[in-house]
Amino acid sequence: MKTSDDALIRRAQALDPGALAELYDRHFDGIYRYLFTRLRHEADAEDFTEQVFLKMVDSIQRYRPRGVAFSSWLYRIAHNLLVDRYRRAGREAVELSEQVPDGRPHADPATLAQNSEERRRLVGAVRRLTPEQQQVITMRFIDNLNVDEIAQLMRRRPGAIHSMQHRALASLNRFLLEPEPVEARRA
Amino acid sequence: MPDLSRPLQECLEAMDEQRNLQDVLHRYPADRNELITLLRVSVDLGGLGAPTADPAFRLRARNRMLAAAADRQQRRRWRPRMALPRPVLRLVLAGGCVAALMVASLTAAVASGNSLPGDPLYAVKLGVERAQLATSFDPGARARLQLHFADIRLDEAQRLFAMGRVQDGVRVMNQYDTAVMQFNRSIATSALDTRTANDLSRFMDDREARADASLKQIAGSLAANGDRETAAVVSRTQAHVDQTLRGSKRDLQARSGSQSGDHQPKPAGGSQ
Repeated sequence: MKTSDDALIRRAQALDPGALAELYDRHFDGIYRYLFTRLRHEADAEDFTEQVFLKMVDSIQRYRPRGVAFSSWLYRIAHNLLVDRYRRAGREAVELSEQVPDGRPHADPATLAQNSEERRRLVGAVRRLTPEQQQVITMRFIDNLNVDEIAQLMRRRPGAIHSMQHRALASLNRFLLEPEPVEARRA
Repeated sequence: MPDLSRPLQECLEAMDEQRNLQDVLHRYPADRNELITLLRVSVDLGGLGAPTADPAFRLRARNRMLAAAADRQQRRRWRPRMALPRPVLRLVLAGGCVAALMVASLTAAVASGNSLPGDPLYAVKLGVERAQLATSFDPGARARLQLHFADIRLDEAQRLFAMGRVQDGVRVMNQYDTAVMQFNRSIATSALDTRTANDLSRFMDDREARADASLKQIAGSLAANGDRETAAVVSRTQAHVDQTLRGSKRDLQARSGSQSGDHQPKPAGGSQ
C-alpha cells in the first residue's frame, strides 16, 4: 500500500533518504511536465526540475501542511523559479509550442503531418483563451494536476476552477469548429 | 450556454480514476453529447503534453538530491541546536532570554547598591527599594526596611557632601527626613504586637545613635569648610529627625506597655 504523503513528509523532514527518494519518485513526472510545458526546452526543464528538488531538501523542514497539499507546495517552488526566470528574461509568460518533439522511432509521415496540423489548430485555439483559462487548461490537462492543486496554486476556490475549466473547454470547442482563415493556414 | 461545470468535473474524475464514464453520462442524458464533445477536447489537450524526462537525467537528479540531503544532515549533526524540533528550540531560546534578563537585572540591582543620584543605576536602586517595600507584607519588617532605606539616604548625603556636591547632598538630606517621617507614619498606623514593637525599638536605638553621629559629622565638616548655611540646614534636619524618631519611640513604648498584659496587637494613636 502507498504510504500517505503526510507520513512520508514527516520522515523526509528528518532528511530520511528513503522518504525523500519516495517523494521524488511520486512527484518527479508532474514537476518535469509542468516545467517542460512552460519552458519548451529540455535542458532548461531538467535544470529547473533538479533545482525544485534541491530546494525541497533545503526547505522541507519549514513545510507546514495547513491545508496546502505537498504537491501544491512543490508546484509553488517550480512556479517561483519560473517567475524569477521570466523576470530576468523580461517576459511575462511562456506559450505552448506548436512543435511537438515526436519520440516515436518510425512515425508515419502522413500521420505526423496530420497530427502536426491538429496540434497547430489546438494551440492556436488555446492562445485565444483568456490568460486565466489558459493557465487552468494547461495545468489540468497537460500537467495533469487535480482541481484542488490548481485552486491552491491559483489561490482560487475549487468551484471557480470547475467553472473556468468548463468555459475554457467550451470556448476551445467553438474555436476549433470555426472555419480557419486562409492566412492563418498559410502562416 | 448551460452550466456543465459539475457534470464535466464528474466525467473528468471518472476518467482520471478509470471508472466507467457511461455511468456518469447516464445521469445527464440531456447534456450527454455536449459533455462528450468537451471530453474529446480535453483528451486532445493531453496530447500537447511534454515528453517524459530522460531516465538517465531522472536518476542523476535523484542522486544529487539525496547527496544534498546527506550533506545537510551531516552539517546538522555539527550543529545540535538545529536538530531540536522548532517548538523546543523556541522554548530553549525563550528560556535563555529570560535567564539572561534575570541575570542582567540582578547584576544591575547589585551594581546599583553604591550608586548616587545622577548615576545611571540610581533609578534601579530606588526601583529595587520600592519593589522590596511593595512585597513586604509584615508591618514590622516593612518598618525596618523603611528605616534601613532612610539610613541609605543619609549615607548617600554624607558621600555627596564629601564629594563637594552640596546641592545634591541637601536634596538627599531632605529625602532622608521624608523617609524617617514615612517610618513614623508607618509605625503609627500599623498593628504591631509587643514583641515586634520591642524589636523595632531596639533597632531604632542603634540607628538613631549612628544617624546622630553622622549628621553631626556632616554639619561639622560643612562648618569647617565655611559653608555655615548648609551646616545650619543639616542641623535643622537633625533636629527634625530627632523629634520624629522620639515620637516613634514613644509610640512603640506605649504599645509595649499597653499590650504587656494581653499581647493583642493594636495600632497606635500616632505622634511625633
